Amino acid sequence: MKRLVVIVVAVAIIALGIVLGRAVMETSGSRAFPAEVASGALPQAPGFDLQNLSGTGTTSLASFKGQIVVLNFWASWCDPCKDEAPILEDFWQTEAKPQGVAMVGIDTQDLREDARVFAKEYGLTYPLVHDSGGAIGRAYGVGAFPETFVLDAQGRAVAWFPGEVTAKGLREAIAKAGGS
Amino acid sequence: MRQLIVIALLVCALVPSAAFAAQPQFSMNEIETELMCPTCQSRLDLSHAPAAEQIRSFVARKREEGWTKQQVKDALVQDFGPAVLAAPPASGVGLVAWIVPAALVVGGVGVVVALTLVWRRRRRAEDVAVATVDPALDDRVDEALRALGDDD
Repeated sequence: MKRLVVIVVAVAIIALGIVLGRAVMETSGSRAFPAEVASGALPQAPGFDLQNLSGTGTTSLASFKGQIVVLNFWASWCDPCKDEAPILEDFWQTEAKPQGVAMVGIDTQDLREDARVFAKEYGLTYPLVHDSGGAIGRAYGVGAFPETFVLDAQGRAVAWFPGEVTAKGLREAIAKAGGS
Repeated sequence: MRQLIVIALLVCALVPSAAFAAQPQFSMNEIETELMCPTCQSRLDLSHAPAAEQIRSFVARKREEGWTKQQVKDALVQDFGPAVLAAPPASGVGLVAWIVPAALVVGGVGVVVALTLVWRRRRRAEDVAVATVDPALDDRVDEALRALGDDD
């Protein structure tokens, strides 16, 4: 009887630990991925298949296999994202697209409705997706906005930019990823 | 003329219902305690982060449009995921968060009841043991005590 009581209490404590641990993981995420990128470890970027911001169709990371990819995490409420949007659009038009470098804007922790207004206002023409629920942002360890990652043709993250990017920074990261 | 009267009556009948439809269905204070700021993990009513302000303005807009609290919550969950709700949904993984505390309470009560029964049974067994002392032994103990008393 005593043994049964101990088992019941132990199972209850373990179950509680799992639930709390899961809740913490789900809400806070981890900054492990950007830390790995910053250390130069070239971690494999988490895959995704997200709905396009327009509402029709999806875009997956796998669809850019063999290409260098610039991934920009943003949100319409984020002020630095407003300063960064014209830089990214210009970079896309004048450098990334002509070189065959893919670029994806991942709208996360944001209202789709407001994100669409933002995209229209800044005339963003590169692919934009919506990270519903924020799981992909958490997988990339996004903790502040904006954040940008540059992936090489093998899908490994070669650079991480916390905060606003510059065209110069992107150029250097693309060169590091094996681009021109 | 008759047509005009019919139109006027129709307008009169529609205006109050339209006004009712746009009536806010819930209070801002009420819903703000039921939502979370997605970037700061604190309750919406306690947060002034930009994401919280965005949600607040969305909720106010939809409230004015006559949305119900549930409609607003559903729309927010679609964009931010279930973590935007202060209380987890009573379905899927969220159900675990409801079941585990209840199971712990029930389990705790069960443990108390079980321990009480065990202790009571043990005590009763001890009482029986006391009650079933060998009478011969009891007599000998009494005798020995008496003998001790006589020595004094």
